[in-house]
Formats: sequence, C-alpha cells, structure tokens
Amino acid sequence: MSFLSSPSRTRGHPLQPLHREVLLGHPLRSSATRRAFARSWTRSTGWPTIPIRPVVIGDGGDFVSFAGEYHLARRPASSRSRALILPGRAISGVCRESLSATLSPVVHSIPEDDWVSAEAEALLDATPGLREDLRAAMDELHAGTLQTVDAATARARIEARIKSRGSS
Amino acid sequence: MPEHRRRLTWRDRALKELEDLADVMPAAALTAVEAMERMASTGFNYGRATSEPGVWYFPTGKIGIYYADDGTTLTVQAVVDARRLRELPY
Repeated sequence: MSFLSSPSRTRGHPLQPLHREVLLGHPLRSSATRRAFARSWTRSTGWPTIPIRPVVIGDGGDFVSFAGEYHLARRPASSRSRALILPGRAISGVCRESLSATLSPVVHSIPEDDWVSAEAEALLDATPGLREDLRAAMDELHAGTLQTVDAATARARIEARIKSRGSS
Repeated sequence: MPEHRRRLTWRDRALKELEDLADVMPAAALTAVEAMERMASTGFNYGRATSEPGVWYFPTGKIGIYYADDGTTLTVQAVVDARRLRELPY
C-alpha cells in the first residue's frame, strides 16, 4: 500500500482514478473496498436482487442453464484475489430453497430467484392443454396403462430422426 | 455402495413431440435425451416440482422436460419448446 500510495511514485495522493485503475485494477479487488461494500450490503434492507436467467452458450448444452442458477453458491477458482466473497446467508438461502423444493411434494410458493420453477409454471400456462395432458398422463401412469418406451429406444429414435433429417 | 441409478422411460407421446422438435433443432433434442439419461444415471433429481402433483420440470437449454419420478423410475411425460417464452428483440 505504501508503494502504491506514495506521492512520489504516483504523482499525487490519493490516487487519481486512472492511476488506481492501472495500479490496483478494479476497485472491488481492493480488500478495503470489498469490506466496505460488504458492510453496506449487509446493512441494507435485503439482499441485492441479481437477475438470474438461463445463460445459453453455443447450442444450449443441458448444464448451461445451471450456470445462471448456481453461480451465487460457487466461488470461482481464482476467487481469493478477484471475486467478491458472498455472505454465507445468501448461499445457504439458495441451497435451502433448492432442498425444500426437492423434498416437498407440493410447491407452495416460488422463490423470487427460482427461474426454473417460474419457467415451468409459465410454460404450463402458455401451452394450451399441457396441464390436462400431464394430469391424464399421471393418471395413466398410476393406473399402469401409460405407453412408454425405454431410454435406449428413445435415443435410437431421436438419432434416427436426426440422421434422416440430414440425408433428406 | 448402494445403486442409485434410476430407470428412464419415455412416454410415447412425449417422444413423438421430441422427434418433431428434432426436425427443427436436432442438437437441442439430443441434448434433452442426454440430460435425462445423465439424471437417471446419477440418481439425483435435478428438476423442480411443479404445481401439478407428481410432475417435475427440468430445463435443457431450448427444451423443457416434464417428467414423473417415483424414486426408481423417471418417466418423461412431455417436452416443450421453451423458446416460446423468450421475448424477441424486435
């Protein structure tokens, strides 16, 4: 710090914005700034709302959609010097919501940041007949009359369809 | 070590819907198949419970999958093109 803040080395004190950018990098990388930010964060009325939407990269891999959901709970590999360390309460909150949604047979409310559940309900509302179709399918499943195919057959049929599409 | 792998089955109608989607987005259809196979092989239910009793939802990029889970078998009930919810920029 003494090196960076020395007037003789940086032509002025405190550091001018340009110097600070060059010498210290992003302001949030400074531990003092980070602590101050964290303090103001915890004193606010609630945790900041971060828009979490599916991140589609390339052609939409199946786990790509998880990136938007779980980045709060994961620390980047190089977090020690760069990333803001999130409070444990926020992280455990995310995990609790997921766990309760997994264990509870009935969803009573959708957490604000749970875009997966929101998307599921939105599709149910936006697709005509989907709810009724699912209810009928569940009834058939419980009655043992649902017509199903196994996973290998399903994969073979999809691959054959894609292949025939390419050849036609 | 206990065996957690679950059996995976597809409702015939859901598979036909996925075949239709494979005509317009083959990579996404194959991704949906692989995602459900992976979920069955790990034994963990990655999806979310929906307001429909017993029905779960799992998004696989462009395709959303509704399925049932009885603890031993995942049964895919319906597949939906999730892009219908997206707002176009024009």
